[in-house]
Amino acid sequence: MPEPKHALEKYFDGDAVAQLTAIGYKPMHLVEGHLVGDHRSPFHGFAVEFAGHRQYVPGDPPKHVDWNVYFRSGKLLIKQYAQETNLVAHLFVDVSETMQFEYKGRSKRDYAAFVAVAIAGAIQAQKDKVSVHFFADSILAEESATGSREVIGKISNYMEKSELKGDTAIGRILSMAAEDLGRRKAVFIVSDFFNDVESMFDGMKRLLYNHNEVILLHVLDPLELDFNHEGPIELVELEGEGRRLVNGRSLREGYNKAFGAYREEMETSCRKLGIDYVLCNTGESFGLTLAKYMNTRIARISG
Amino acid sequence: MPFLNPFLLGGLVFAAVPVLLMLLMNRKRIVLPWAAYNWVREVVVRQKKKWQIDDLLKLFSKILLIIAIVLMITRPFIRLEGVRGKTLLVLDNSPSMGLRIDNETQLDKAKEHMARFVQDNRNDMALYSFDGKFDPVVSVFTDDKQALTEGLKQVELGTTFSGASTWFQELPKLPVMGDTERIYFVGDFQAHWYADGARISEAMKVLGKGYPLTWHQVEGPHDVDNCAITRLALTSDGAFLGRNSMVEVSILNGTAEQTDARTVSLYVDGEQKVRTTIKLEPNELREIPFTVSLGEAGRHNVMAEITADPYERDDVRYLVVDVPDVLNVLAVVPRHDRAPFAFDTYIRGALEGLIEDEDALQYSSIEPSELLRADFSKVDVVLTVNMPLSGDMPYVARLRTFVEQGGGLVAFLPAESPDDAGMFDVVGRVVETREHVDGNVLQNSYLAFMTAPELKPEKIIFTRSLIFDDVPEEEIRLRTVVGVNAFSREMGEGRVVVLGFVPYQNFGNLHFNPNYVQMCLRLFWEARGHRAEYAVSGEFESWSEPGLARDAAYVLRDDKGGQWALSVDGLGEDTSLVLPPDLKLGFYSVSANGEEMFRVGFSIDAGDSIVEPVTEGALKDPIEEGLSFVTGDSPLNGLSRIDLFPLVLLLLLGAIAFEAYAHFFRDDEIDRGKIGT
Repeated sequence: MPEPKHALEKYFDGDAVAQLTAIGYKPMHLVEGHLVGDHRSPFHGFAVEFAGHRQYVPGDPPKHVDWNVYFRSGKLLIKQYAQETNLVAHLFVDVSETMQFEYKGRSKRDYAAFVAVAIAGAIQAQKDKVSVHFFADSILAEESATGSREVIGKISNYMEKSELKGDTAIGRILSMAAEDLGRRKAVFIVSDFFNDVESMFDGMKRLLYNHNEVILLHVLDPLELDFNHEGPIELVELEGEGRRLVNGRSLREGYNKAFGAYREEMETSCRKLGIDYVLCNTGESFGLTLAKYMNTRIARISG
Repeated sequence: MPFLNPFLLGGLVFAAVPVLLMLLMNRKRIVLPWAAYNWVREVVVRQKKKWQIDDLLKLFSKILLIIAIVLMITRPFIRLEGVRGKTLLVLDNSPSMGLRIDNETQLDKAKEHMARFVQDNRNDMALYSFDGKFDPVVSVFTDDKQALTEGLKQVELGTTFSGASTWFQELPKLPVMGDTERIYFVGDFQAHWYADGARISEAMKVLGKGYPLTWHQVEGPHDVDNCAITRLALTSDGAFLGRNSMVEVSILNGTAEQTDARTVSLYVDGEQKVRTTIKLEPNELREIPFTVSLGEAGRHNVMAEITADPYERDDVRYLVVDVPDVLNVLAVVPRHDRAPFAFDTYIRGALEGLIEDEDALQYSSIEPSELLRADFSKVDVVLTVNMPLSGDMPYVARLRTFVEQGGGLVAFLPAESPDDAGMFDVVGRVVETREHVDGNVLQNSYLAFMTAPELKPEKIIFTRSLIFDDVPEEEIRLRTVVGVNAFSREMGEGRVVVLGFVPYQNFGNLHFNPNYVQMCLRLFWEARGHRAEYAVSGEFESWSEPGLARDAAYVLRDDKGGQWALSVDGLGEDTSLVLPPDLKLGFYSVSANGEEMFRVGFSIDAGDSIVEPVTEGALKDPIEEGLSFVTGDSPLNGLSRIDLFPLVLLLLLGAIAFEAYAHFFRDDEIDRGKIGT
């Protein structure tokens, strides 16, 4: 992990943000923003300002012909609008107890914070707005959409100072958020997603129903991905009272199998719903992981 | 269950190591707050029992493996009673079985063990005794317990002995071996005969690996306080009428402990003449010289005895000394005008000084020219000094006849010419350098006394002497650094002692040396026919005596009235008397046609006197080869053993397979979903 450059921006990694900015985040679909921006808007003359007519030339799509004028004046004129708007990205960052997990100096909380800050930084850098929601079993704190850099400091500050507590209730949080967020937003969820898969995807479906684009950033430790600890180990449940003394070697096969099935289910569900799934392995560089994802996205959009 | 290496059973404590390791590992566990706990719970719930079984299996397999390894090295076995088959019983009756503990000899105990074995077994049995050779007692297999028991009673202590090598060499030659299916040998198994386990296991191959062979050791004490008289002999000064003789007694302390005070007594013809008290250091061999008057001319029984100890048979030793009559010496000495004394002056002086009774020595002197006319009828030894004795001298034939008919000759040859020694069939050569006596050769001759530092052997220097070539080693009596200077040999029935120098002051300083005086006495003892006879066990099966007549009646008599007719073996000069077997220790006389020829003292050889039983550890190799070595009075004694090695090996292989299953195959089955999923 990079060293903090400022007390409030402990998790700000300028290089990573610069790299991501260079790649750029382009929404996969039309977005609805508040301001004119770089992104295509879905509106045709309702919420955006009418810009005027121009003469029809062959090749123009007939759907843009102003038929009212034609019937009134018999002229074929094309309607022109302010077609592009800005992006509002909502970051949902999991601050439940399971994010406290640390092993061999790797911390899921730190990793999630770096990811959130990097995404927020990159989106702001392209003049878009970012809103942040910290959640566990409910929304614990949030920052409304803003283009200000202050949001980075706030994310950083919150992730550093706040005490991680409470169970995770992603499904419920997302269901509630779907009502508040409105339509056609970019929703980044940074979490370990240790929750009931079905309920989580119920919430995500609500977001998708509103034509929001949902990106899951699944933060996991390498040990969670492959339990390769040898010898006896006592595991203490982070979101509960459970304690188990197990032999690492004995546990490995069964655990990896069960956990693998869970991850498989997550990925399959995401694929089915058109949700981007990004595995954020805390053993790997977050900048690299995000850059890889962004590049893949760009390629997909262009293709 | 008995074990071959029971002391290694302590290795079983290592069976606790896996348990301790498991406990230690559990104590060393790390505690980790875990986020993905649901999946752990899911697996634990599903596989908890399987893990417990696995852990127990692994733990048990490790413990089993350790136990199997420990059993491999401790070698358990079981003893089987009543093994079928014809049994050869061998009873050790070697001298050491005479060791007496609590008024009972080891042989008595061995007989008790064997009698019990005979009573307890229903198999056909044959009985042999072994004292270095196998002697049949009940020579055919029989189930007649009465005959076997009676046979046991007849076995007496033998006088010979030998070790395991002979036992295994002679065993296959026994007529009963063809039918023998198992062997039971009871003895004391002395360490110096049976401690070489490697050789015994090699020798056991004549029986084949796993042959049902049982050695039953009669329980005996260690470090027993035993002294042995290993030698009783007349010193080389010899025995002369009118002079006290010196008898030497050698006593060995065969143990690693200092002895108590022991009295050593010397008897002549049954009368105690002298005694002394000694204490011996551990393993000390001490030689005690006794000066004693043997009495009149004739044969005398000399016996040395030491205070009795548990092994009594080596506490006494016998010797017969034939004291010759008056010594008649005829000196043939040439006159020499320049010499201040006659050449034999010193010799005569020495003899007269040593033989104190003047009636016991008749010494006369003649010129060489008188030799042809001299009367030899009463002469025992002729002394020639400074006379050449080459073959062409006229008086040589006379001297040769005298010697060949039984006379003695002591010849001091002049160092003038190599031919001077021609009469004695040797090649001589004259040496004029100053030469010292070779002490190494003296050690083996009766002149060994010269090597004593106080006698200053380095003072014996020859400036001119005659050296003899081609003299057999056993005939050499004196040698300088350039060669043999004196020798002794038989010629016909007599003996000559030939010396390559003249005892005259101008030719050397030998006669100034105190050695010289004593040497003179020994020369005459050697040159004169004499006997000091003794024999030890192992040598007393026949008695070599040249010129025995087959038609004569030879009779052996002991001093207790027993007598045996003897037969003659061999022809001409190479004849010997065949003696009866298993003679008891003591004095024996041999007569021919009623007239006593000679007498001999028969003693036990001290080779079996170091009485120290072998320990089982020394027989580790033979035991591995299949020998059942049992000791004491255990009810299991005498029973054959079945080694459980194959079973233990099977157990070990099973443990390894079990371990492999627990660690690999079972895990593999789990991976493939056969177990626990």
